[in-house]
Amino acid sequence: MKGVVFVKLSEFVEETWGLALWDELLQEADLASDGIYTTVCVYDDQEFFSLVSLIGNKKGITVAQAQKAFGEWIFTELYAIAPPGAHDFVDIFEFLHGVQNVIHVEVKKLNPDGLLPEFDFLFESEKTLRFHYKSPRKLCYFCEGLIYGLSKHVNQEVTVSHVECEHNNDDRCVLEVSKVG
Amino acid sequence: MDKNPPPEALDIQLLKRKIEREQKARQIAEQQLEVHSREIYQTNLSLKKSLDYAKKKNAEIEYLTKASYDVSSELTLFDILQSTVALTGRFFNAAHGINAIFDGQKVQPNSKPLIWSSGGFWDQNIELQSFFFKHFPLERAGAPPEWLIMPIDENDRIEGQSFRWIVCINFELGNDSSVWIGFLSKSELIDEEALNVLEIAKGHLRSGIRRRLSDARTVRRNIELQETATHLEDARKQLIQSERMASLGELAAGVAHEINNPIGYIRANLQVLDDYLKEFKSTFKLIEEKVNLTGSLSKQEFTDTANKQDLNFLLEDAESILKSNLEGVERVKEIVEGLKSFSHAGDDNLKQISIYECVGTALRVVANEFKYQHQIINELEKTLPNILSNYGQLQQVFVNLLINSAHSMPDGGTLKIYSELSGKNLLIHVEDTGVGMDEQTKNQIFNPFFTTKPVGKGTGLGLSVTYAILEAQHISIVVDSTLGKGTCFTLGFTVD
Repeated sequence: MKGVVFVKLSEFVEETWGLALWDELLQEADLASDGIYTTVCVYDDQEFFSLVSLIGNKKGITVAQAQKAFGEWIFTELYAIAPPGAHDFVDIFEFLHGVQNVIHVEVKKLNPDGLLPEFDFLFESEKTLRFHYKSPRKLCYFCEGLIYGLSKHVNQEVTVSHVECEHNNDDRCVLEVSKVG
Repeated sequence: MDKNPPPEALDIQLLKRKIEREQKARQIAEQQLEVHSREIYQTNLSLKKSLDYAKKKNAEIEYLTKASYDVSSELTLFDILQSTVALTGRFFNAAHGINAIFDGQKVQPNSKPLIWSSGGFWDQNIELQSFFFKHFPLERAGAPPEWLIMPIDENDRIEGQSFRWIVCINFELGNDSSVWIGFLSKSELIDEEALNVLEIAKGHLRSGIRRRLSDARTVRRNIELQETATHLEDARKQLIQSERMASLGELAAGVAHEINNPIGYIRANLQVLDDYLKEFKSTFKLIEEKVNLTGSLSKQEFTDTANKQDLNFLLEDAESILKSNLEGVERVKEIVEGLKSFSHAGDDNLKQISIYECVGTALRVVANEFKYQHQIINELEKTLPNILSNYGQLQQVFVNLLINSAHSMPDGGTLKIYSELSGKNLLIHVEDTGVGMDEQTKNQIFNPFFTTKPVGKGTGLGLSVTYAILEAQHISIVVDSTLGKGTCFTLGFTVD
């Protein structure tokens, strides 16, 4: 996983719960990297899952909630460093299509080996967009958080539901985004 | 020791650890940056190498494409050689180039070889020409083309020039002549890959030269063929004319008879008219004597004299004789005109002609071939549309058909000429009730020198010439014949 995710996770934890918690997480997690993260390196996915799991334990929330909170928080950060073309969308659904067709394409140019999720759009109406979230990392809750972050950014209220979820023993993850109002 | 350090001390420890992590992270990032920089440098080197390689390959492809294009174009051999020298000189980075045609080991006197220079211009540099010729291994003439690369001895250099290599090749042109192409290079080393490309170009050029030589042979053969075709056409015309004259010879006796008939009775009539003139003169004398004696002539006296001399009969008969003679002269005139148009070779030009008139004149020419026991029914009408044909030749066709019909009915019979018009198709049938032909004969009638007539009668060329004339004018001919019943020739014309 790209180092930027770990760097941003540390910023998120420090900003939300303070430096002490981050320090505590690193000391308890016993990570191969010793928590020394830089954006120019990649780190074992497992370190991310360990840290998120620990956050859940420490703060009395589920892993899903932790991922979702981090996703919502990181959206603005990622949006700021998103490639050109990612800032031209004003509608949530349009943006989600753009993630697949523009942002991931640009990211691939810079990181040909990068592992990116894929969206298979299954249904779309004026108010509802349903898509198959495909990623071996199974970060569908993190993705949900990102969508809420996007929702705040464009000031368009939505609800996200996991119509199907691998975490609930389904064969795949299907997210449904519905515009409110 | 204080077991519970104050919160400030804890914060400081936290910050220390954070700074430590960030310093290490910075070091790692810097190391990573260095690795990336090195990778980028290596990538750039590799890219530059690839670019140079691609440029080189591009130049090779461009050279081969242009060389191949020239070879497959319609350029002459001379232009291809010129273009090849300039293209190859540029590709090979040569200083000068030349192409020269040799007869044996001597340069062709008229071929004035020019020198190509890397600036892109051509001139007659005698010094360089001699230098090239001196180094061409001319004794190789006739050997398969190979690029020869020869170093130039330091003592063998033109003053002020620093050529190191001469590269040359020769191609056979046939008839002991060959073309030499050569280049002078100042490069220290000859690029082996460039030589591989030149090897490919050699194949292109070799096939190009072969094609040009083959084209030249084809052109020569075409000219010969055209000349042969002209000779054949002349022979065909002569054959048609000869056959016409032969027919005319055969017809001569009959035609003479045809002319002699009217001439005979014209002559007899003129003798009668001569007698009548004497009668007129004596009558005139009698009247004159009476008038001189009495000073006048009564009506009764004139009537008596006229009756005595039978003047009324003489006048009436003279009138009739004159009319008969004029008709005879007209008949002779028609026969002579028919003969004239038949015997005249004319030209091959096709014109709009009247089929009615053409058949009419043919019938007059062959009239004597048909005897009193023959019946000739000509149903053709003046109103038939004109056809595009050659009058003299078509008349010859009908004369041949009519003579054959006459000869096929030695004991008399009926000749019928009639037409059928359907849209743009006009059919003319020449039908006789003669001896007819069996299938075997019918299949041979258009063959030259085939005849069923006895020796001395018929040339055996009549129908073959007829066929040649009709074929040249795109007129169809169909023969329908039944042994013992008769034959019908049908000619098919297209009416405009």
